Amino acid sequence: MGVLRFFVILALSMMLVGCGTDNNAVDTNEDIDYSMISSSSNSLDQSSANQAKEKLKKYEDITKIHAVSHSKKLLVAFEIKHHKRFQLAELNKKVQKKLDKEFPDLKVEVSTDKKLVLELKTLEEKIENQDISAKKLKKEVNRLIKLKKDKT
Amino acid sequence: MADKKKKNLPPAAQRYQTFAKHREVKRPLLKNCIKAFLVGGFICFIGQIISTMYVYFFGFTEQTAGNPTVATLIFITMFLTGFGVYDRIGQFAGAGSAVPVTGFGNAVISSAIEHRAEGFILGVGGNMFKLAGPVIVYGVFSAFVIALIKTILIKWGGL
Repeated sequence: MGVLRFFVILALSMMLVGCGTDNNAVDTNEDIDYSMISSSSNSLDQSSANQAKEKLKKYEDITKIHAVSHSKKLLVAFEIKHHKRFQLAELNKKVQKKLDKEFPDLKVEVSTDKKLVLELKTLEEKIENQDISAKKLKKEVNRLIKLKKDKT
Repeated sequence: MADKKKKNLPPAAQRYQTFAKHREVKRPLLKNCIKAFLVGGFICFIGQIISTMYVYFFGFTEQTAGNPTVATLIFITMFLTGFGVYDRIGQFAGAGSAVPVTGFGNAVISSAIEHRAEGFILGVGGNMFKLAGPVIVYGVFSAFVIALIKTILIKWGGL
């Protein structure tokens, strides 16, 4: 009986703790994690990526944005608040539509995949520190687009 | 059905059944459920760790990390079954250890071990999928039916 009571109390307290944190989530969007890339060299121009970040900043649910662009291709990856993950696919579609409209002359790829977020972050850092050539960047962007489309 | 059968029994048997029912040790249903929930959840937690590791340290996306994660979990179960650890987990957690994919691995490997004495072809080969075979058959079949429905909905329903 003692074991049973212990498990019931454990389960109940887990439930209470799990449900409790959601409610006091602050509605400010100050803690959003993104950084503009200030690339001076012309070949690695990231202005469209920065523009996309500005546009996505307005979404309240987004917590992290990384974007990289290269010659007519724009790759965007973002993360959202954990308790909004049920709406992940919906938001992904919405963002894709919005960015398609904003950049009609670019091929925009939007992803919410953790891997894409990680890879774009390292790529952004490389561009920022200028230790990647235009050729390599193109290769990397193409690789990531391929990775994003990979299903199995 | 069971009630009907009981009524046809002779009175002595009926008396015995009520007698036995009162003295039966009751199954701790809630306790079993909680055990299954916690252990099953812990197995899924390990799976999530493995999946995250594949995303962080290897070239898998969240989308593609599922397959190697399942393979790794079954591989771990193979060892646990071989060393006799998984039997104990199963004894303790019941469905909590049988429902995740590790239970499937355990079903394959334990029957392979059990029938080893009957030879490799008719023993191991023939009995390995005794329990897991139906899972595969109905899994594939239901996937086929669902795919058929989806295709029809998309092609004709314009979904």
